[in-house]
Amino acid sequence: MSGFILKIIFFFNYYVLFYFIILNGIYFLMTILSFFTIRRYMNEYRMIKHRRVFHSSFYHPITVIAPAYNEESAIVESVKSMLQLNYPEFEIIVVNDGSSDRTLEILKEGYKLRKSLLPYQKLIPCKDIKGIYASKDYPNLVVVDKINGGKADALNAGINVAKYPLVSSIDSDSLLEPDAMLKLVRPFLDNKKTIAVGGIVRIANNCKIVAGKMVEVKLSTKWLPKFQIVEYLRAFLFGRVGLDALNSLLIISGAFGLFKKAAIVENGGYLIDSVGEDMELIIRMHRHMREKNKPYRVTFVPEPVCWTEVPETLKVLGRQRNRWHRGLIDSLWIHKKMLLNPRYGIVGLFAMPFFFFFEMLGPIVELLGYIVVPLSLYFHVINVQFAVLFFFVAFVFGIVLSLSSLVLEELSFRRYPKYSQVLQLFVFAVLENFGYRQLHAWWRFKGIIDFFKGSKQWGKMEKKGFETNV
Amino acid sequence: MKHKIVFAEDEPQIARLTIFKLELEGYEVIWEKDGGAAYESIKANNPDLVILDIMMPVMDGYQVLKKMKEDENLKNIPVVMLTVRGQEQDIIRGFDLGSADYIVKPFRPAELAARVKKILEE
Amino acid sequence: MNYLNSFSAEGQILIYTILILLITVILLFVYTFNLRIYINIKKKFIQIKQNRWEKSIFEYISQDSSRARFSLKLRYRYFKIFGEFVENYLINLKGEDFERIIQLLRDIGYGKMLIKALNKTNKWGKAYAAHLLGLMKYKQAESKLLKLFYHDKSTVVHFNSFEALNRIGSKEELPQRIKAVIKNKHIRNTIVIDILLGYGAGINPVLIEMLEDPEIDSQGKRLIVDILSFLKAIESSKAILRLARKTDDVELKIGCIKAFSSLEDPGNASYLIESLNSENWVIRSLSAKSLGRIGVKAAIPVLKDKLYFDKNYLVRLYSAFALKQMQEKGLHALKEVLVNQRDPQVCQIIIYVIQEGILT
Repeated sequence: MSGFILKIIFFFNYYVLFYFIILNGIYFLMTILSFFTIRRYMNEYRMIKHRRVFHSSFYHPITVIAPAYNEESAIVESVKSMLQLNYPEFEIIVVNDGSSDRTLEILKEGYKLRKSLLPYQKLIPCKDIKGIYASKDYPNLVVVDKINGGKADALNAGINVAKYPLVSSIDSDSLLEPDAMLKLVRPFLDNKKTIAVGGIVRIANNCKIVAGKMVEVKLSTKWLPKFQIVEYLRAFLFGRVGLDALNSLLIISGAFGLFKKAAIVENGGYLIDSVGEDMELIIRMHRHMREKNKPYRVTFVPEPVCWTEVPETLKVLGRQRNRWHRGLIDSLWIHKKMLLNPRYGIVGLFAMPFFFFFEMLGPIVELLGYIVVPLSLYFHVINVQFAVLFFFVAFVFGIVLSLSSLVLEELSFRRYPKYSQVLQLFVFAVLENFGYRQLHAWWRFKGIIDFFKGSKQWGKMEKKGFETNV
Repeated sequence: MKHKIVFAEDEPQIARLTIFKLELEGYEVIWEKDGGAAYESIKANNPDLVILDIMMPVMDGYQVLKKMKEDENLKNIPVVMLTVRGQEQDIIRGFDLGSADYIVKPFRPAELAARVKKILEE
Repeated sequence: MNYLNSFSAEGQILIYTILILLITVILLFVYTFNLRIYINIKKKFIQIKQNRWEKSIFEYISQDSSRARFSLKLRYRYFKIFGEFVENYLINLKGEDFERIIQLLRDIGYGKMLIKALNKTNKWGKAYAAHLLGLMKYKQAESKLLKLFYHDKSTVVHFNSFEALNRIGSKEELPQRIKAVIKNKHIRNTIVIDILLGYGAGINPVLIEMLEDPEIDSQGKRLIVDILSFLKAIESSKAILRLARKTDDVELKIGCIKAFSSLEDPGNASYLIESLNSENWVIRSLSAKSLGRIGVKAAIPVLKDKLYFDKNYLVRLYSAFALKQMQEKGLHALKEVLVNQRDPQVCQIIIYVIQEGILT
């Protein structure tokens, strides 16, 4: 018996080694790809920087959907900031998702709303819409009042009412750079097959924001947001850019993306019962388009365009990551059929397996590694020297990867102007490998457990507020 | 007496050249690099004329213009819009909000000075 | 080294890996900071240079042209940063100041320097030099730019030399050049549109001719139709109509119908009325929209019919909008439908249209 266990432990060690090599190989490849992609992007940007402002009538008009649930305190300000968007033709649809506070009343007073008979079509399912309001002062503001149904449902309602061909969803607490939409829309103009575009989300904690506009980029004084800055840089600058270069982008942040409305409608809208409705939608789009053999493109613009507040306490952050991970599992689980299925091309053969084996199961392997390796040492299954050195390699490689995203940032956007800021980010990029990363694995591990525990109790209805996946 | 002008433009080279030209004509020019600062400066300096670029950080030209028109003390100050967008609707939007004149980039600094002179004489 | 030998073979590999990785960490760190320092120093340096250049330019502009003596000496290696400096003037100014600055650039030999750069630098440098030569309207560069346009493999160089030739006003083989750019699939649509619009209405005849060219695919034709429509080139109306009738490509047809809406030529009315019976609902709804915009009263019976019976919601919606745009008669038709129509959704549309107007 004990021999059997020892054997398992022995093989697990090999598994960890194998896993480590493959994962880091992919990361390394992605870093290289991102480097070239971003360099190209910067060169192109330099070339078009001084061009005439592009003629506005060629831009497709955009509908921005902002779901709101119990946001009476901030809603007027955040709508005001959205109305400042620099874009030739757009409308803002605020969807009041059955708030129990005075969100709707405050909007009515603040923007002189009157009831409108605006016709709309129920293209995708959503809870009943109680009323639509138009503003006297702002012809491009529409407020939709509906019965509570959660964020995905609110977005679906917004899509039903939207009158323009491109839709975007934004959180009322995140801040768009004024020309964000001008940058995001370009892929749609350049390639008619484009159905979804994402952009980089940055961390706004402690930044100076005046009248809904970013004035000065600062680092947070707290340590947790600093870890997240490094993490976001890595996730966006080489995670998504690299995945995009491989044509395998499966996530477009719920906080900020631009979609072709027809493509969302064709694929049935956001899934209401999912924790990760934004990721699920993208995977479903990939799936349906490939099943129908329609050419399409989901892409990414590597420019910082959206700023958002992140959690500053371990408890809130842990909850957020737990939920993100459940969303990830949920989305992958629904579409498990695509996994390793050659019919879905690179998405089935690379993107899905990558997310399934590394992103989803990663925390399990990582945590087990921290348990099994010491155990193996205890039972003398592996060489002490080897284990210790291997751990070192793992940590140092982690540091190299964290640093490469900072280097990419330095080569491209340099949004943090001071030396001290760069130095701090460097320190945190090193430190994140000792503690933060393990904590992150633990949160995600708990997410896996909660997912399998929670899946039995689904169907219970409760008032739904919303949180966003980045 | 020297006429005072607040000039809001975020492109420094063009701004400095224009100011150089306007100062040759004998105006006192206060330069602001963004819309927010421009609005504060207009409130503080009470100029005889304002030149606003449309594309600016913090607040764009339209927003500054709108805020000025809402303010009793500022609403009579003539405003000239400076814009790269030569399109009809942008110009109309500017006039709707109450601008006195507009200049489309690329522009002749001499022409800007001439228009400023004309407005100030009226 | 003796110490190393006490490790196993795998152990030694790992130790080397760690060493390499640690060195990488240090290199990345040093590299980033050096980069930052280098960039900051360069910025300061450029600032100083540019201040000096700016002073000279102001002096030059404020003097009488007869007495103008200019004290600016430029070294080849600064051609890029000088370009970034002078570009702002070339883009934002016109009239006498613009002419004088161009004259100055010629006098100090900047044009020649840029032509040298066209031969010497990498593709981004070449593209940038071409761009600046275009802004300077430097005629002497024409033959060199033509050569680059036809023979350089890089897309950026290709379209930048194209745009430069346009700015210079080169008439050499203009139609062929435009065709080459439209056919080149590596150039982004946004850039093609931007460049072609730079011509203004002058190239309309060339574009119209290209609508009939079998060598250009429907995507390229769609682009041309979009441009003609933006320029409101009414003379292209007939050619676009012929194209719409001939093509099977739905996207292209949609582009044509959109163009009819912006051209507002009543001559296309009969085609639009026919299209109301197309199998494709996008074509039907856009045709209704265009008919409304042009105000074709003859379409009222068909639009009424669409509002009653069409399966697609948007076709009904746009038919209602179109009727609303046809004054008395259209309004009358709307009210008639309202009285007889049972579908509550259609009734809601009509009430909305009558009370609050139309959506754009």
